Amino acid sequence: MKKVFLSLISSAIILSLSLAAFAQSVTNQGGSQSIDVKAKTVIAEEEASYSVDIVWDDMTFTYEKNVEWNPQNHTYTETNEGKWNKDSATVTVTNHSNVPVDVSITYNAEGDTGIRGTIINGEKTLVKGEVGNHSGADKLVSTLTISGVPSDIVTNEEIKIGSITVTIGK
Amino acid sequence: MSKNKISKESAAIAVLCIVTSVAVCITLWSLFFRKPDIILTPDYAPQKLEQNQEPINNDSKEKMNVEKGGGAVSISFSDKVTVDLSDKLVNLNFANPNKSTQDMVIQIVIRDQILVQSGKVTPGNKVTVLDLLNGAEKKLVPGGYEGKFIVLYYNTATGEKAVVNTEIPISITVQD
Repeated sequence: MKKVFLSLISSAIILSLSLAAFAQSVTNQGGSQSIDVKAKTVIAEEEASYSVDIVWDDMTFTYEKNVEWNPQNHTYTETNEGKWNKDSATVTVTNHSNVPVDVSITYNAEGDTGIRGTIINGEKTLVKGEVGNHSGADKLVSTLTISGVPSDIVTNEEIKIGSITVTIGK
Repeated sequence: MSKNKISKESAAIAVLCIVTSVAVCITLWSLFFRKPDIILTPDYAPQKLEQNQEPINNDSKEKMNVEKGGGAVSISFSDKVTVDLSDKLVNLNFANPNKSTQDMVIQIVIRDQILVQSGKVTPGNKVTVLDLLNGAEKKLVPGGYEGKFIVLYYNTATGEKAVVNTEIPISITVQD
């Protein structure tokens, strides 16, 4: 009795396992059945494409020292006073990527020159490029300002007093 | 006789101790105090063009406007890089479009170690593969690293290095 009961249960379980199959019968002798094949296109997921323009002004700064005329011996004497021919220059970063970019601009001084450089407006997240609006791309305009009185190592021969690093991240 | 034997044994032990001490000192020095190989960034553009550079298709013919004495660059890149240790090659995408006014040198750096330094990539060209520096493959194992591009700019006319450079964080996958 137990064996019969178990056989019935097993049969019930096996029969409950079924696979769906699509089928259509061809009823007419020598007939055919058409089955549709379909396709479609979708826009692929965007891959990040980075493109950035960086433009910088002339980064040469000239300090013009004041001199005093000595009428006693017809000579010029340099004073410690003077002025810079210009005290700022800009760096502009424009984002033409299809993703936003984080921009950071830093100034790295070199040598004991007595000259200070400061970056103003040096960080921004630039929004991604807008379809059809190349000229309106988001940009960051940073300004490097120069101040201080040059030490004796700065002569009338140009020397490098620092560098600017533009960091572009996501 | 016994004293002689003891004396010889003592000498042998002393020599072994000295040799061991020297070996330990050398090991400690090489692990903690040896200065890493230093690659100096060139102040003037390399004379050699990057051999792997290739022209950019359908590139613009116009240059960007720039103030006299200033500079302008346009860079296009992917922030994912693959290193093949067996071929000692790096697969990347980096372009210097024609509208740039500067030549470029591309470095790939991991933890202050320069592993790749390209030749001169001139405006209108791109690179999709670069060579690892000699010995760089010994510093890497298969896996993922965080590194960066350091892009150096050089005046196309004078070769003088610009005061502006660019750093770009990248993901580096190293394969056998």
